[in-house]
Amino acid sequence: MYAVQYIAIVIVLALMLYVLGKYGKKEFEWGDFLFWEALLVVMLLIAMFPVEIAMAIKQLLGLGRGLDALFVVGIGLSYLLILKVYVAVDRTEREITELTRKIAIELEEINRRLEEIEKRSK
Amino acid sequence: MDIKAVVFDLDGTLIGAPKPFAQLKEELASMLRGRGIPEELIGDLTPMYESLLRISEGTGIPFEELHALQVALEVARIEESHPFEGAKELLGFLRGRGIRLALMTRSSREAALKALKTHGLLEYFEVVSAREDVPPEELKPNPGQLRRILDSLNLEPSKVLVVGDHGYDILPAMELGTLSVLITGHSEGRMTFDVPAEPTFRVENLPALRELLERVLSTYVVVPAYNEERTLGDVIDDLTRYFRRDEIVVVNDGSRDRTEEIARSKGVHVLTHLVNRGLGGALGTGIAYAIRRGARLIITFDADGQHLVEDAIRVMAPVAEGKADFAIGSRLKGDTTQMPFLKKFGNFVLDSITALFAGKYVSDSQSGLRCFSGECASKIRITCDRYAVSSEFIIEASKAGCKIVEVPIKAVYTEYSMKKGTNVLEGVKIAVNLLFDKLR
Repeated sequence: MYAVQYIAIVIVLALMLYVLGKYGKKEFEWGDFLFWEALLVVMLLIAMFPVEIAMAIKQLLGLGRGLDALFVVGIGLSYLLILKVYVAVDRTEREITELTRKIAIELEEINRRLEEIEKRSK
Repeated sequence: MDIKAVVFDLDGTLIGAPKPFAQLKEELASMLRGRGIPEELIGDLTPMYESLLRISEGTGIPFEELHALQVALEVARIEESHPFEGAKELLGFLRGRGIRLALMTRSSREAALKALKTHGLLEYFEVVSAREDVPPEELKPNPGQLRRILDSLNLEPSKVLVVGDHGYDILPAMELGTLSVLITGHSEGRMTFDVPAEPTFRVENLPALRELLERVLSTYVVVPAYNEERTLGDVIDDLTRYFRRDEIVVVNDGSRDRTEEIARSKGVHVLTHLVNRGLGGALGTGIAYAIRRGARLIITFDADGQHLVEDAIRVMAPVAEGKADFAIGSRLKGDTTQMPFLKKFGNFVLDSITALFAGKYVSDSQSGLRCFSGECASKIRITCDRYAVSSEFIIEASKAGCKIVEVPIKAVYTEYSMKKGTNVLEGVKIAVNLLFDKLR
């Protein structure tokens, strides 16, 4: 194995522990936990057997040299992840807006009602 | 809107009579001829009252004598008169809303009172101003007659609506700055000549006027404000000239300055976003609140002082009249001399992108001055939090089948509003936002 493989394996294992910790602290749902752990397992496998996997992808997709094929697939996966993040952020943004809106409207309505009650009691 | 009084014209507005004024003129002319008054002095008797004054001066015949002839003809004409459909219901509706009523007529007092009594309308009016009640030079279309009514009601012009069927009713309203409605569909009782005038609103008849009033009396103005302490106070003061404080909704979008404090001190509705959500988020909140309060019309108005309240009323007119569901105040259809070239070009690019999604080209898609009918506003689903909301309104309204119109307005470009408004970078962001939003 090359030195870079050891570094990669250590990083991936650390990330797997980090995800596990997040799940333990209930910061991740089980679905998220499974998704990220599965992805990290794949990365771990790639780190352990880069040449074999690259050759397999090359034979499967017929893309140039083995490592190039790996990069192409990697970039593709990254885009998928960015999209997932975008969708999640977008959903959160909308939820925050809805929440902010609800609080703003209800506070004003409560204020108005209190004013009316105050007026009546005077 | 904060309408505290409505001033009605009588003939052609509330009542009609089969005998046209042209016939009345002919009968008066023949009476005058019978008294030996030369034809060239009689002329075409347009308008009758002023012509009699002129004839009296020319012949030395006492004016009262000549005037008595006109009054007798008018009173006889009233015998055959009838109230227009919906007149009584409209007056009852207005009084029920606590709105004071006045009558401003060029008819004689005797004929006017007879008409009001005959048709059971007199009890609704607090002030009746007939032509003998004012000097001839103050009679409408001159503003004196209306000014006296405003003084006796002790009201500012902006709180009063003048309703008439003729330019003679609208001209004094324009001069004094009151709101006005021109009734276009009544042919009976209309004067024999036309004068051009620009009323605030136009309606076909009295039932349509009632619908218009129901809408305008339930109009909400949504003012999104993010750090606008410098201009917000003046903007609210300006709006309260025409709108009740209860109808103004300021959305304080997480401002870090005194925006909320200023809005609260003005006694308007204040909705505070705990965190800044952007223009779209703020407008969405204000509109949702207005819909909850049963708004029939919703106006959006910028807090940076770039809009004139008179323009807001022009933009609301087609929606209030029921001719459109969504009106946009277009800075590019009006006077564009103040608009910098870069802004014009940027607007054109964004207009084109908007048109691509909406299937409708709007000359100023980024305008902040708009008016929705309550129905159209409740059909629109807003998801953009930032500036792209302006285009989204058009796209969504177009999809919901709302009828969209554009009304020319004037934008006031102060150094302040230029700094606060969208810039080139914002423009690019809006375009990207729009594209992304549609890919979602």
